[in-house]
Amino acid sequence: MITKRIIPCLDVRDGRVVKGVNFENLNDVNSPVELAKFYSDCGADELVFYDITASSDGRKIFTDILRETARNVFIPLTVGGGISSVKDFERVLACGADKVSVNTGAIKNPSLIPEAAKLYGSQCVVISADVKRVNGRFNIFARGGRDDTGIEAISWIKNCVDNGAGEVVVNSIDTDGVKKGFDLEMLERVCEVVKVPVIASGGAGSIEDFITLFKKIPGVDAGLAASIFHFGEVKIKDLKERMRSENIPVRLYTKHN
Amino acid sequence: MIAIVNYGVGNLFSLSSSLSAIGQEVTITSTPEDLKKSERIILPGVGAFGDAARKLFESGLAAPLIEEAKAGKKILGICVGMQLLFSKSYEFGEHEGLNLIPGEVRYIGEVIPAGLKIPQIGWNDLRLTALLESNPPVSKLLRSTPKALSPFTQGAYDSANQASPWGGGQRPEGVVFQKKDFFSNNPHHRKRSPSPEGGSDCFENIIPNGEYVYFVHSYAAFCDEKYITSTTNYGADLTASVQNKNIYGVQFHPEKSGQAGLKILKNFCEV
Repeated sequence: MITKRIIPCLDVRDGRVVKGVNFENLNDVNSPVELAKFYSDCGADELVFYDITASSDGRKIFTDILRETARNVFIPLTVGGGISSVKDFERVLACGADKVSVNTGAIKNPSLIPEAAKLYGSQCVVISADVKRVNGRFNIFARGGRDDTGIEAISWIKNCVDNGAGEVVVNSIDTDGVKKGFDLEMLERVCEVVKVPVIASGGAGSIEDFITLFKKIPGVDAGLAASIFHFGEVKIKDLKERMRSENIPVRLYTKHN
Repeated sequence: MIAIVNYGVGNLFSLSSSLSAIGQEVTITSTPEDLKKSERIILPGVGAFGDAARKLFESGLAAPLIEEAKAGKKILGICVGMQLLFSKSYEFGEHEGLNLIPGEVRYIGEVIPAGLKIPQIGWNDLRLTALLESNPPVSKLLRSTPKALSPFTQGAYDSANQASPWGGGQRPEGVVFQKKDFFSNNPHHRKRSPSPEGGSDCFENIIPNGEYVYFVHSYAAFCDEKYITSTTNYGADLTASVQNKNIYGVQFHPEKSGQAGLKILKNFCEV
């Protein structure tokens, strides 16, 4: 049976993981390569690298780091941050990314998703939507959640999928960082309109929040989180064992020598 | 040396990295000479079958590939590369494949219940057909070393050493090999009791039944059950891996399936 995926997200600036990470047995807690290996060994189903570098020098370091990670970690890698053209797709795919997540770039350039889907296939194009409630409706926000675009989110997401996006990450700005659980209302609305995998992001504070997410919204395929994994508040192994005990289909890690 | 066929389809970085990680010498090639020189050949592929088939035939590599296959060289097709091994596909029209395995590639929407998402994207478990019956024998592709088995599956190996896979040894929690798994809604399988002797043989040293691997696909292979070495269940049992003598194929991405995937690639390099 297809399993629900657990996806840690790593914010990378100038080739280093930010937000600090606190794990034993990890020599360099800010090394994306080390951390990616660590998560892969813990049973993460996929990894998201989010490039929050502003400079072109930083971009170069990021792609070097990505290449190094892809050489050492053999689970799907998604890359986001600063993707605004087909050239950006090419740049990260050539370094070993399997999927590319687009956010502000798709708002600014509506042809980006269909062009990328045509060139690389829908399986490679992920739309990452930062969504917030504004006057009783859901709006799409740009630039890392800073700017309200005024665009209604649910129909915009549906449109992106119709144009070729093969997966949707729904990041609720309302629940992000609050650690009181995922935004079930928002996720349910998105699941109603799209037929591609939906990845929930924003709000996870405990194992319980993931259990609630997968039980209440069966249309959600994956849960994404950052700091609760980085700070060890939720251990992926514990989370997955709990999911299995709750009869949520999950991949438990098998070690091969 | 392993030759990865480069015919302009898909990203070969991960595949060549994963082969390097298991100590293999790799060449990414688009020449018939390299295919001839290599010990084994991997045919990758993503995207639509028709597009991939056209590029493969136009590259001039299809004929030498068939030649090598007929000469007995071990060939592994991955994802759309596996689909290309079959006779034909019905993805956006009807397209000819390499015809190294009799069978065809069809839309999974024809067999899975409505409402399931297509493509299937994510980790799904393998059900080894050899556990059902001794013929076909388990593909060597799916072999594993005994110590490789995890705590979750160690019991599976213990019981495999007994006379019957289901006799002796304690089945650990979470291991998926209840008989019903193999007899439910599987169009590929004859409904007959598993042979303990055959089952025992096949059980030894294999990738644990129920191992998870990473899939991304909307189409799947439909062929005689004698070629199917494992299936995966996505509303219906879909072909996950195939073998016809020296020709191997996996629908999933071993290069993206963590340690289990690396093990499968390693097995291919050693068969």
